[in-house]
Order: sequence, then structure tokens, then C-alpha cells
Amino acid sequence: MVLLAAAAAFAQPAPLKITKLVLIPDADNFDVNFNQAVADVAGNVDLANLTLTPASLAVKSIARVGLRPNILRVTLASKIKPGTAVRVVFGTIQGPGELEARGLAAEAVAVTFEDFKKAFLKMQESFKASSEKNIFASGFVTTASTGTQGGMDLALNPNLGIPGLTSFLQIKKSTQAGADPKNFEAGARYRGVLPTAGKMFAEIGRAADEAAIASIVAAHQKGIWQQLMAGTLVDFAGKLEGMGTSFAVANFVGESAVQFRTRTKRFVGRHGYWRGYLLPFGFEGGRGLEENAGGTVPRKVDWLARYKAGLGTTFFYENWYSEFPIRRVELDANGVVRNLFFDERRYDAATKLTDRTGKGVRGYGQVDLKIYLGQSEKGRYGLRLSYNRGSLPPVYSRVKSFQFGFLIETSDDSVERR
Amino acid sequence: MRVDVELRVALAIASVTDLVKVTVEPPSVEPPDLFALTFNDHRVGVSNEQMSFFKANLKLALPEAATEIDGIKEDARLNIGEVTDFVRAALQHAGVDV
Repeated sequence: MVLLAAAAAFAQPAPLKITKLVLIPDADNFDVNFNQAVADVAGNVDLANLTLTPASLAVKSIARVGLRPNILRVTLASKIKPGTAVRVVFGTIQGPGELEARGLAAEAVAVTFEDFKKAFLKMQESFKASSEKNIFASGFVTTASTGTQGGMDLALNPNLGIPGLTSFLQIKKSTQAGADPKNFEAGARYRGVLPTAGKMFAEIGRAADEAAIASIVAAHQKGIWQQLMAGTLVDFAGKLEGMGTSFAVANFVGESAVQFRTRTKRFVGRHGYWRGYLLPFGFEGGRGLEENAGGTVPRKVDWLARYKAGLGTTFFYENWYSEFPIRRVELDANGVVRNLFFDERRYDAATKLTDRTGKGVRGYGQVDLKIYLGQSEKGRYGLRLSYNRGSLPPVYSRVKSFQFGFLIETSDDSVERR
Repeated sequence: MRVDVELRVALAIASVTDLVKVTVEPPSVEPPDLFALTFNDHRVGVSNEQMSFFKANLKLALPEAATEIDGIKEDARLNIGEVTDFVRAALQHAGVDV
């Protein structure tokens, strides 16, 4: 009996409530956001159902927003001046099913666009970097040929606030010989974006009404390329390459690359998806920052030139209502090959010294698997497995390792909880 | 004429993911609570890299707000509804009724 009562309480929908008022600066309307969809009934949009203060704001209409069923948009006879405190009280609001609430109230103060923008930018900067989010995952246990030790896999991409320009920092480091790529990269990247659907959206930008948009969308959704590809990224970067914890070998490198990125496609029914990319062409060129280093023939300038190509894919599955213990799986597989046109410095694990590579192809592959077993209000937890093989610049230390670790990360994307 | 920002945002998202389906007339979207989700929600499936294409397409659909759309971070953890509200504010500030 107790179990039945608990199950009935669990099945009851959350009570309907207003989550916030959104007052768009300089607009003659504002949005009332509810925690769930409001019913498409006349009573919800009846002007007599709403008491608005200040009384000087005359209401012209209340309407449900077609694509946002949890919003009622209130249109006024005039614009709301910044600094105005707006309060709404609804007589009765009907939600989904039999859900109903009386006397729901909320208030907010209208702000200028500058203040609205400031609040938005502050909100989006408040997200933790992925390295902070995965802080427990970043310390892993790694097993190479002998022994088991720790390591670090860190990537930061701070926003420079300039369109298309980002900075980046990446460290791949392990204390275990045979598992340490000794890879550090930091620099700035300019990214050009060529969306596959660009022509369609340019036409939408000139469309007179929704009927015209419907025709444009219908006309552009037939091509296989459009169905598969999201677009092309063209990157130009300048970066410093180092060994992870020292700069005994350091290079300054300019890089350009072209990537084709797929759209997200369904995989395993409605609970999974995949996406991928192909990098058919990239070029890295630059020079070593240390003179006369390594090799039997010292040289004044250590020039670098590399062709680069790569590909990668992501598979994702999530079903927190599954009866199986595995509720969420993320699989990332990435590979890159570089063809060296000049010989470069190389780290010899046996002698612990740097000597020189030959010319030719160097590859690196990484497969990461995250298996989530459960989650709480604080975050998700599970296991992380990673396989790495190959070598990376600047010292091409050979890596062949299997890494295993426990994973705890904050769930700051929207999640379903059981 | 008022610009339907929600429709253009939903179309720009659907341009990078098959998980989101948009019907223009009458307006509807799958998943129906799209604007309450984040871009990286498993029912949306947008990555940080795909945010670049979303922004580029949205700038073409709403050229008056292009400069402000540039300021949106390419971080798929952003909430779609909050991004939409920001774009609506940017358009209104540019003199377009939303």
C-alpha cells in the first residue's frame, strides 16, 4: 500500500508555475515562461484572465507561442520603458491534462538592451570549461607495457571575443613511458565557416512571410549532400608546440586545415545518434625555436613542413529509463596522420634524449569510451576507457597505451533523471 | 510585420541535426520542448563545432542581428530558449519588431 501511494505521488505531474518573465528591451510585448506547456484554450489567453501592473500598460492580446508551448506572449499597446517594474497575476491557467493553477504571479523590471546583453554574456561565460567539468576524468590510470601511473588530458578554449578568433591550449601528458605523447599546443585560431544550408538561409533572410519560408525549406531539402553535411570549417592557426612539462623542444607552427562536418544523424532508434568529420587537407609549417639542437649535422634553422589529414566520429546513446545498468555511452574515435617533409626532432624513450626523425608518415589515433552508470543531482558517474597509439609533434614520442579511470562529471546539460 | 524568431532559430538548429524536425506551416517542432533544452541535450545532439554552422545560418536568416549573434559562445551547453530571447532582444534593438 505504501509503495502504491509512493508510486502515485511519483506519477503526479509537477504543479504548474511561472518560471520567469522575459521583458525584451524596447519591445511592445513580453513573455511569461511556465515550467510546462500551457493548454491551447480560450481561458488562458482571455484578457480578463490577466491583471497587469502598472495599470498604465494596456494589454492588446495574449497568445501562445507556436513553437514554445510553455510561453504566453503578452502584447501591449505601448512599449515598456526601462526601469518599469512589471507584475502579472493570472486568474486561472490550464496546463497539460487536468493540470490547473490559480493566482500565478511573477514580476520583473524592464532593462535596457545593454543590460540585457550584459546579463546574457555573463551567463554564457559562467559555464565551466570542459576540463573543469571532467576534472576527475582528467586524472586517469594508464597501463602501457609495464606499471600503472597517472596522466593528464587537458583542453581549454577561452573566448577572445573576436568573431571567428579563438585561443586554445592542449596538453597530453602521462608519467608512464610508452603512454606519454609529450604534447603541448597553445595558440590562436581563426575559423571560417561555410554552412551547407547557407543559400537556403540567405533566402529565408529575404523571405516576406512564413509561406515563403515554407516554400524555400521544401525546395532546399532534397540533396544528399544537404542531408548529410552541416558544412565546412576552414582553420588558420598560429601555435607554440612543446613537450608538455618542458620546452626542451619547442616549435612555432602556422597551420591551415579544411574540415567537413556531418550533421547529427540518428543511430539506434530515438535514443542514439552519431556525427563525424573528415579533414582531407591540412598543412603545418614553421621552425624550431632552439638552434643547433639534436642530430649529427647541426643546422642554423630547423624548418618544419607537414601535410596533415584526419577523421573522427562520435557515437552517443542515452536512455535513463533503460532497465540495463548502462544508461549513457559516449564513444569518440579520432585519428590524424602527418607526412613530414623535413626531418624533425624526436624523443628517444630508451636514451631519454632527443635525436631526429626521418621524413615520412607519423600517425596518432585515440579512442575514448565513457560509460555512465548513474547520476544524481550533483552529476553523472561511470567509467572512462581510452586507447591511444602513435606519435604526436613536437617530439614524436611513441605511444601505445590503454587508460582506465572512474568518471564523475557535473551534469550541466539538461538531463532526464530517474 | 513581426519576425518569428523562434521559427528561424529552430530551422537553424535543424540544419545541423536530424534530431530536430521543424514544420513551418502550421508551426511545430520536434521535440516539442526544444526551447527548454540545451543544444547538447541528447534530444538535440548539437556539438560545439556544429554551433558554428548554427550561428552562420542564423546570421543569414536574421542579418539585422548578425553582430550580436557573433557574440553567442560556441558552447553547446547553452539553453536554446535563452539564446532565442537574446536574439529577439538584438533584433528589437536593431529596429525589427519581434
